[in-house]
Amino acid sequence: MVDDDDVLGQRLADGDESALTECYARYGPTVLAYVRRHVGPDEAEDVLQNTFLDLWRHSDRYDPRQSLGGWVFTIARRRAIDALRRRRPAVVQVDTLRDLVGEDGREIAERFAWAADVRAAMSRLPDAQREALELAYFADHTQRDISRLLQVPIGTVKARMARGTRALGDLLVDYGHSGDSRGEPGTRTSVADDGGASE
Amino acid sequence: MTHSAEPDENLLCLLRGELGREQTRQMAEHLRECESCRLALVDVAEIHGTLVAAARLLGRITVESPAALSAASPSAARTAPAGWDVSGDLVEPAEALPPLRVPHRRRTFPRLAVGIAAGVVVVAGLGVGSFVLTGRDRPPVSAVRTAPPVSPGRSVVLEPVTGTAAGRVSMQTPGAQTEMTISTKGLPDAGSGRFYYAWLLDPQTQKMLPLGVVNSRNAMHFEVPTGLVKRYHAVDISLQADNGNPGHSATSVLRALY
Repeated sequence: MVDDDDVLGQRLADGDESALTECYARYGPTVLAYVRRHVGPDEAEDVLQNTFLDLWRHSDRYDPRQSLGGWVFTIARRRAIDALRRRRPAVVQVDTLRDLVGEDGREIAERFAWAADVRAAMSRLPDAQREALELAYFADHTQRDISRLLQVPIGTVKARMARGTRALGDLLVDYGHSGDSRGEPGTRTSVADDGGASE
Repeated sequence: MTHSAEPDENLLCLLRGELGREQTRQMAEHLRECESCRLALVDVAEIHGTLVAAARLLGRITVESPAALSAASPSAARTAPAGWDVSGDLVEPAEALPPLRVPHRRRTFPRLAVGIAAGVVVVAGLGVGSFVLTGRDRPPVSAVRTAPPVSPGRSVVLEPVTGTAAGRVSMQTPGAQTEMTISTKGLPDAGSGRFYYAWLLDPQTQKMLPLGVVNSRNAMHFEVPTGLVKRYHAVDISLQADNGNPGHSATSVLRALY
């Protein structure tokens, strides 16, 4: 059973270690992709571990008004900046820094947080629907390909994707990503400049 | 074109470019006339756009192996998406997430006990602080990397974190104790009510152990149990305010990894 964002954040704030593990499973892959992009593959795993260690150490600062994903990526961004700062200035590319600091950095981290929430919401779909959407969007397959891969009629693939899309829209409301059509502001995922993970 | 039983199915096909030319034309014609389908299109387009954006950002890294593929026929395996290992029956994600180093449960250590432990470590123990460590502050056991044995004699360079000073840390390990000598060059006067302080640091977990006050004019000697030295991986020199706070000021001026 996957906890929703607020419940998971509250369990984390209460010091529940299993919540940390769930949080890692939910956001770890996306955080790893994010930090690898900025600090490179050699340091990415260290930054990943430091991110979740910080999350644990400061979990009592979880603010339910901020999305859990946004908070995780606020910390990840800070730890990635720390990793770059430790390097000799000559080997840090200007573009790398621009992607991390200031408005650009916050926006990119926010996009990753948003993508992580999408993946987390997808994991809550029924397997058949999730599988069809993953193959279509994350493996770039056509519905005809998916029909062949899964050995089901193409009508079944279409139906699974349509149902999955509708269900995902409802699930994303929980993460604050829905647009006006669902009556939600869609602003919870924000990567703060000062996310409470400071040393 | 009239309403189909499952309008969302066709709308999704339209957005994904999976309709033929004639079907696309008919669908567009129908949407011009049908407000309910236009509204439905908005909802479907929102999720479609969200998925496209997430996939573009994350690529294939988080695609989980579909159970069906593992039981799929050889022809299915041949056409499995790139990034999945379909050489055998098992289908693996393109990239594995390293295991999380799970911390201990929270424990509170008495201030006095930790202070005594720090006092044992610090020979030049001026102003040795005590810490209250909670489980969250303590590094996970598995996070403590196995450091290479401290050689009988080695030296590492202190590089500036802020400012332009430099320095060196020499370590001699004649036995169970490591004799650590910290010399600095170019450290400005700390100023009234401030002083420089040396710490052992594990950069990965931010765990710190206080060593003692560093004099900017003379080399300072510390004797630290070798086992402790191995558990840390850097020497950090901070600028501290004499305000009674025993913790690191967060103003590092020099650091050397070892």
